Amino acid sequence: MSSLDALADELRQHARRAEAIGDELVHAAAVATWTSVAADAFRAHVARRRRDCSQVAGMLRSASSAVSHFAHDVEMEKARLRRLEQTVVHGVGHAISFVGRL
Amino acid sequence: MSGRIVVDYEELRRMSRVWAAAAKSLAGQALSVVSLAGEPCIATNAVFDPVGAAHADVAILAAAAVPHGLAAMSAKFAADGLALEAVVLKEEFVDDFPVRELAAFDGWLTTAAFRLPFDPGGVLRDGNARLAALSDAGIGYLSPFLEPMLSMLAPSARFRSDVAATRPLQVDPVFGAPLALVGLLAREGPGYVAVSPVRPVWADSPIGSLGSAMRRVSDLEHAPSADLAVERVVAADGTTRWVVELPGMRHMGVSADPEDLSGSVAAMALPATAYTRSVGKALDAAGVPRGAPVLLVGHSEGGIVAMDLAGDPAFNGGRVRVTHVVAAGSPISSKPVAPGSGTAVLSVENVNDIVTHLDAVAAAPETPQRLTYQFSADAHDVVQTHDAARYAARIEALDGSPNPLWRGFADGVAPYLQGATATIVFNLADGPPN
Repeated sequence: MSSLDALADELRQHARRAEAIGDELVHAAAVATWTSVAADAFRAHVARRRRDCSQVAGMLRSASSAVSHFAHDVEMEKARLRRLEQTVVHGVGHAISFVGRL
Repeated sequence: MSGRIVVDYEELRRMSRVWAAAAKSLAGQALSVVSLAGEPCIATNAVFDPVGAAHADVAILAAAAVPHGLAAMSAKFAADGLALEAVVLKEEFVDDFPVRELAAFDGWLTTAAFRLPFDPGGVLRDGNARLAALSDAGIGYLSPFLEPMLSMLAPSARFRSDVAATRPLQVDPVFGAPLALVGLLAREGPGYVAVSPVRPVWADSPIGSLGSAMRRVSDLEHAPSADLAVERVVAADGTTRWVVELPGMRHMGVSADPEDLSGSVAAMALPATAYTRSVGKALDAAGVPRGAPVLLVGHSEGGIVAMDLAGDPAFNGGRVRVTHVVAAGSPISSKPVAPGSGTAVLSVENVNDIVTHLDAVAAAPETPQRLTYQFSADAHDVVQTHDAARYAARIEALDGSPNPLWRGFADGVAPYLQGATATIVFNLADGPPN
């Protein structure tokens, strides 16, 4: 795995952790012994905060995806350069051999 | 429970702690993610795809920072946590402050000198009453802070170290004398019960709910004599279970029954008292078979006695099988159940009730077998704050709670609360009549 892929993986882990924090809050509010109208409003607020956490997790996944694309493009570019290098090396080799034959 | 407002500040405090932990975790994540944007692998590879590198960096920074990233979320959560904590602090330090009682005493101080020549006796009585009311309210106000205050201010070093280490108390707070001496100073009788001629209005009717069971305990506390009730409950499938209702202390001072001050002190300090022995005799008299399943419900001293019985292997697992204990307003945090008994305990504690702090041990951690429900309801009066009927109302308010530990406990006691019920009320005494 390249260092860029590892970076993308780390961002995905952060996304999962952000979602887990939202889930922990919902769980903490759900298991609270507290019962009342105020408690219901509080639990609704917690649900909104979990959506916020999901949104952040989505942004982290987007960042992970951007890094993955970057890693892919870098690999493609490196491959293209390697092919170019090989072409040049072959071309030079052929040229030298041609000049040698002359 | 919707439609009924029961604000629980202890619950808010727990939530505040969860919120603060979440904010801290998100802040740590934000820093970590920001540092990822500066990873050398992005810069070194940017030469191959400068646009892609810039795009990745922007996406990482957007996820970490404002306006909707991790840092922004952390700030929102921190603000939520602070708001919750502010509500709790306002309640504890401002709303609960005994302003009315303080103003009343201040008013007396201001006018006493002018009124004294005309009615000295009345002025002194008035001042005495207002000071007593202020002291009464002050106790409820300071009760939530009793454990830290004792750990700092108690004269006995052994007591202070026990409180700081949340160990069960072994010595008194002033002299550091072993609490076991209570047995020598306040001689506990063998215990004695006799069937009471009094029949409560609820006798022989199904209990219905835990709140109702606590209301029965409250009724017994207001009976003319020291009592306890043993209720036989026969379920539709023929299974017989038993509920024992244990009232708390009925009067300050020393009397010939266990529901007095000396009985309460003994119950806190000793595992076996005249009260615990009376319960055993009541079970014998009621014909409770050996090994029968029993639910113990107690308030104050009754809750301590319930835990003393649940912790005694000769009683719990020997004489009967105590499946559940419900204790309200009882300092039982350091009292265990008998090993291997599987007894489930629900302790309901008003943090403004000084009685719940008398063991100087914070509430036991919540487990499926041990649930402590704390709430804050300061009546600015020691007796009212500790009242069994108030606890009963609070237990009734728990009925709609989604807490899985509460639901598990409520499901466990449900068979005790429905079915054909037969009630026997017993009078208690420290010993047989002379």
